[in-house]
Amino acid sequence: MRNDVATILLLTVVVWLLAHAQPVQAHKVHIFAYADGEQIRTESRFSGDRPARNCEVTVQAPADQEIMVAGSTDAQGLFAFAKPKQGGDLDIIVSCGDGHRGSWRLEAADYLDDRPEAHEHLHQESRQPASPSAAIDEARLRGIVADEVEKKLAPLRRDLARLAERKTTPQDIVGGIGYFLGLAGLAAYFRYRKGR
Amino acid sequence: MHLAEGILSGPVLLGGAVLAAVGTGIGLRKIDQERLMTTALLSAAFFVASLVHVPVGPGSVHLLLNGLMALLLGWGCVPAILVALVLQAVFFQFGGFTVLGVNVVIIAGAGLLGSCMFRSRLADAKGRAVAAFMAGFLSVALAALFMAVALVTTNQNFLVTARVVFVAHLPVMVVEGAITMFVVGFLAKVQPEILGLDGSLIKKEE
Repeated sequence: MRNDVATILLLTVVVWLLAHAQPVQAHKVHIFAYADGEQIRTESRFSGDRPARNCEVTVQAPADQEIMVAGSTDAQGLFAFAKPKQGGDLDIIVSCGDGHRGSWRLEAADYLDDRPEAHEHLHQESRQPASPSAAIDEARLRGIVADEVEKKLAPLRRDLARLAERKTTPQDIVGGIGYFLGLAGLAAYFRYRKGR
Repeated sequence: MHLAEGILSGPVLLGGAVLAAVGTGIGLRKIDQERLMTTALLSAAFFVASLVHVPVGPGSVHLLLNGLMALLLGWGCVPAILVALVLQAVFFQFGGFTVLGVNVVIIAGAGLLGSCMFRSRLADAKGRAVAAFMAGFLSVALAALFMAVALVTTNQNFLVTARVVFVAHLPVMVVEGAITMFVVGFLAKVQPEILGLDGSLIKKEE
């Protein structure tokens, strides 16, 4: 009996050490995407921040299976493609051929040009001769400002996309271990009742 | 070692689920009262082991412990691995529910096959270390092979896939072999009945 207790204690300690010996890393491939100017950039990484090299990236609309863009990641796990012309949500999927697969849903609102008024002004500019100088100035200014803001936003978008990834926490681990003990207890209880 | 969702085709998923269900049924009958806690603890160890990265090689690989589990639990390792995979899918988003059956077959099946010929040799103190190492090593190797077979159905080149998966898991095979060897050696000293070694062996050693 003392041996049993010792073994259980030992295994518990081993499990505990395993859980804490390393920073918590999930084992899967993650991909995230964000708009940067006229491009959509993607980053694919394995758990523990190892870039996923030479993995196939495909882009398709959620509704149909037709592949809009296909390519493969570089040594840093990066892949970029031009924004599709027609709007709509995009499913961006990374697949590494060895059973690893990750996907990211990029919603239309996240990459479509969110400054229609700037374009409107640019188009109107040729049609409206009235007060041309003011219109041109305003339209160009809007365009320039929008482009600059876009540049500043790209890294922020990247960070947001990174943060959206769900990380494994110590709570997950300890919670999971709790389930095992609970299940064992449950099984022991039912067997005990059956045996009685 | 966890296949992600959305890779395999329907029939493969279904086949995996049926096989896993049969294995779980057999396993549940084999777990008696005495082994219950051992099973749960090994299941928990498996659950956590997937977070321990082996940072060697090109891919992303982690410990499996399937050989050790099969050595210690026999068929009982199937339900143990099933429960651990369910919880990994819930807590870590590894694998997923549709591929659960296939992943159970890959990991538990490889463990059972890889360790079956070494289980009986654990009783022999001389060959124990080698047998345990081989069981750990082979179980991971077979799991890599099974995984490549499962991936064939997604019209990928078998040899290429098999090589990628196999090479990625080579370091894990060695590490697993070593871990299995040490754990079995330790248990043989401290708690021989966990290994299924009865009193007669202890007397022989004395």
